[in-house]
Amino acid sequence: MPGVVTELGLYGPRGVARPATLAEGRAYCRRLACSHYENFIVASLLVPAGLRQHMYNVYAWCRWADDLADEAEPSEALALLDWWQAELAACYEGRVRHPVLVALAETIERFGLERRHFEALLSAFRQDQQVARYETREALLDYCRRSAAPVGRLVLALAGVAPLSGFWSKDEIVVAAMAFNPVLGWLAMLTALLTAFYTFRMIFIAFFGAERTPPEAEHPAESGRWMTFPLVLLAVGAVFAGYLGVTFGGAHPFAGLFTPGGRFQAFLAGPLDSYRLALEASGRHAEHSTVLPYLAAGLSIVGILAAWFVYLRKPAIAEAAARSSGPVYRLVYRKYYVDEVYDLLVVGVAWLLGLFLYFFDRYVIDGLVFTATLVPRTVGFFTRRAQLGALQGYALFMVGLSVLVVLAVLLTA
Amino acid sequence: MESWLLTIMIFLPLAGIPQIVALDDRHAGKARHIALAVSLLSLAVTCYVIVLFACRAWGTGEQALEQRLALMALSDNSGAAGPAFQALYHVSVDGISVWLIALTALISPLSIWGSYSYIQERQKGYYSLMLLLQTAIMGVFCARDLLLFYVFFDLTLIPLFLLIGIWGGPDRRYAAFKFFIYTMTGSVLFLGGILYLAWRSYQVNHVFGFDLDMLYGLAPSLSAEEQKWLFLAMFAAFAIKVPLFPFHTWLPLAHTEAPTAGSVILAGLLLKLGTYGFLRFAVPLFPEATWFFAPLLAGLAIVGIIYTALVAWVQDDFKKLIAYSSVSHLGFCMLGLFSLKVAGLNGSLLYMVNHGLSTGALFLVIGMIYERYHTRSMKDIGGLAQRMPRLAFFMVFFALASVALPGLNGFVSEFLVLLGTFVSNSTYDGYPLGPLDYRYAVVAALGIILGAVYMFWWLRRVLFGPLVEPRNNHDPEHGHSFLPPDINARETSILAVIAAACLFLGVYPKPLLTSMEPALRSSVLNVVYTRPSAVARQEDQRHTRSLSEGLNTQHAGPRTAFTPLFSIEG
Repeated sequence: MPGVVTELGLYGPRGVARPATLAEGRAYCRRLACSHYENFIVASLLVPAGLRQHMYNVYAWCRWADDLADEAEPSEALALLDWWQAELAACYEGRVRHPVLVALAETIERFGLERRHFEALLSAFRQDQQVARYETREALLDYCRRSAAPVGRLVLALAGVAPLSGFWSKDEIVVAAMAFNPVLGWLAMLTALLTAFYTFRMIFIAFFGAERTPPEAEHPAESGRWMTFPLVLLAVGAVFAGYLGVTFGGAHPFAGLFTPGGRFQAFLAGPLDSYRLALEASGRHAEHSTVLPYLAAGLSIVGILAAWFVYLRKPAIAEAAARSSGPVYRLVYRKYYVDEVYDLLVVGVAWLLGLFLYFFDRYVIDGLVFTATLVPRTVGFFTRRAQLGALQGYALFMVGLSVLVVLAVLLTA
Repeated sequence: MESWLLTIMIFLPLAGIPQIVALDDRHAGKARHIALAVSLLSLAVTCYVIVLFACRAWGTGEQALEQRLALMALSDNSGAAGPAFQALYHVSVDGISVWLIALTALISPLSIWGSYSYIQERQKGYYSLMLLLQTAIMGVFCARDLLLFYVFFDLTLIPLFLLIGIWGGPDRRYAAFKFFIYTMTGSVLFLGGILYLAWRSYQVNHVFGFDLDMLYGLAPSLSAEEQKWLFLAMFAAFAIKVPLFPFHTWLPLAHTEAPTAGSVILAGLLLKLGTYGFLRFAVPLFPEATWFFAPLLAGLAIVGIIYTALVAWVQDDFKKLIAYSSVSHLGFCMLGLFSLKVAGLNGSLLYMVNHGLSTGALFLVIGMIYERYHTRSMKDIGGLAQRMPRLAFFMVFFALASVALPGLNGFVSEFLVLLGTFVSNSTYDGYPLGPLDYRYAVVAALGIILGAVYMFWWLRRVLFGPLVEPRNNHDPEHGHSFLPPDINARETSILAVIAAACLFLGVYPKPLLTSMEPALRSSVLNVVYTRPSAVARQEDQRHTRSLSEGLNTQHAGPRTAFTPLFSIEG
């Protein structure tokens, strides 16, 4: 299949007549990404529209590098890769001519893509020219670190997720989803509300309100030490784990909790950053970005309050709602009948099959075995009548047999 | 002395029989102590054998402690130097048999100890037969002569026939006869096969004999057609013994009716005679036929895995449930064997040991429940964990070992079997492509799920939920009411020993694997992949030659033990 090497005349080391314009560069990268021979879609519809062009740009650069390494004449490959690295270096110095690099320059600037990732990739392609098999796992891993990993890092950088942030709280997921696709974001928000609601429903019903215990529990007691101690440990983790990795970037330790730049905002800095980055990437403004995390946290509180109201303050509401929504309530209460359907279609069918096979085993397979023994059984049934145990019988039998033998001998002679 | 060591190990249990028989009838209760002592002594000798084997032939694939006595040697009138007819007493131990011998030496005393309270009648006969059975099984695993193997193989039938027929359940006579005749039918065909093989050996080597070392060299002189028929003759004996679907119907019946120790030895040791027979005889003696039948046998194994797992699930009698599960598990054993890959064979052989431990223990557990309640129906029993917490612990433990929980022994072997089957169609272990491919492994893996289904189904019904006990569990007729509600110290010790072995093999199976692998390579795989029959030579002469050269160079250099198993070729 023709790679970009066929375009070396147009865009190769000696080919680019004049610097491409940004529009030309973008168009070229898009064409390459959409028409090239990958078995996957480079930037699918799931990628936010504003990010797609940047994906095309990075892809086009990598595609060029790979084709220069693999599809050019082997004698020229190294020289071409050197040229491609020089073009990259020039790009970081602000001089661009090649359409791919014209487009890529914009991406590099916006996302602050690091040069070392691109260079690592080139070093791996150079290695491809000499090494085809790796003797040890370490050597192979090293190769992967310089070939697959840089591409992953570049794409993650585009997605606006700081690659090393391990801060995956719910808020961050909500915010990232919002930036990605508002519908998903609002669904996540709603789920946060419902989570707060059902969790506190359980707490309010179990620990507050009128005391109700089943008759068999005579003296309900606090859990023992072995139950309490791990729970305390878990509670400490649940409260403070969120602060791990939060740098309180710039916030004065004594600054007010909710003042701008205060601790709460610092706590939310992780989600805010990724939201801002993602919003910028998709070309939208980040004006009300600060509102969202507060909104997510606020909705949780709304959920708690709603649970308090429905289950503690006016329990009648819950019962009325359950009664009035009838079938829907039953459907949800029964977990959409997934268990029942599974029991019927998978467990039930397999059980019936097992029963059938058991009878098959007993009557067909073992029946065949029994049938096979019928021949010796039948023969034995009749011949055993000859075994009388009386001496005269055997004597008679021997005489008769001797007569037959003598007759046979005489006749054949 | 050393050359007699194996013989001492094999026949030592017999030394207890005169002592037992000479006991006065008033002291018949002492028979069990004598049997246990002799069996433990035999275990000690076996430990010494293992140590010697480790010193002499560990990781080499060679035989050790060989003894060869001519039982009969006649010359014919052709004037040739050696005997023309010979029957040998030829025993040895190698990496394939050593762990099955160890399993036998471990399970036998434990099942004798486990019979202490259950067997109240005719104790002298019972314990004599148990010792005879141990000798027969030991002999089977040590024999290096086909005729000797056949003698021991059939000798195992007699004690077990009597054990089932005399000390068994209500339907014991039918079960014992069915077991005996079914197995005997197979072994008669096997006898015909080995006589033909000896006759062919007479034509080729001018020796009418059964020595394995001689017969292994016979394969090139056998036509493909002959190999197939001879393979089928052995198949008759071994497939019934394993048992391979559809020749398994004697097994659930025999298990249900047998006394506890009979079930333990039947499942734990005697079924392995079938798989061991395939591994030791049918496959390396007839490589051409092995290639022809491997997909078929693997197919039967897989059908058996799924089919008997489903049947096990719907059983009400839980001894029958475990009996059917044995058929399912032995299917894995056969599958790994016929993957003809290092991982598959390792897994298969290890599976034999592991299945002996975990299923043997499950039958012991069932026996302990039965001694207390006189029923094995899930309808009558439930929630036993409340009444018998210690037994419940072991029951869950062995059930988990049986469904191959990682960390327990079953996992290692099941994983290796599936791995070997999955990569059978590859050259990862340095051998050419094997006969199976990943599709066999995918279907067989379903059996793992079903295995967990019936095991946990059983645990839930018997151990958990509200306590259900049969009303007449203190039946004066049986007179076992002296047993405490939960298992006593004797029963706990028995189960704890097996549990320790299960745990050890689950965490550190390496000693077994390192000693098995070279033997499996040299005496099975190298033979099977050289395929030296005339037909094979015509078909792919060049391929064969380059292969045998490859194998030779591979074995010339020092080989670190067990490296190729998990490494990717390259």
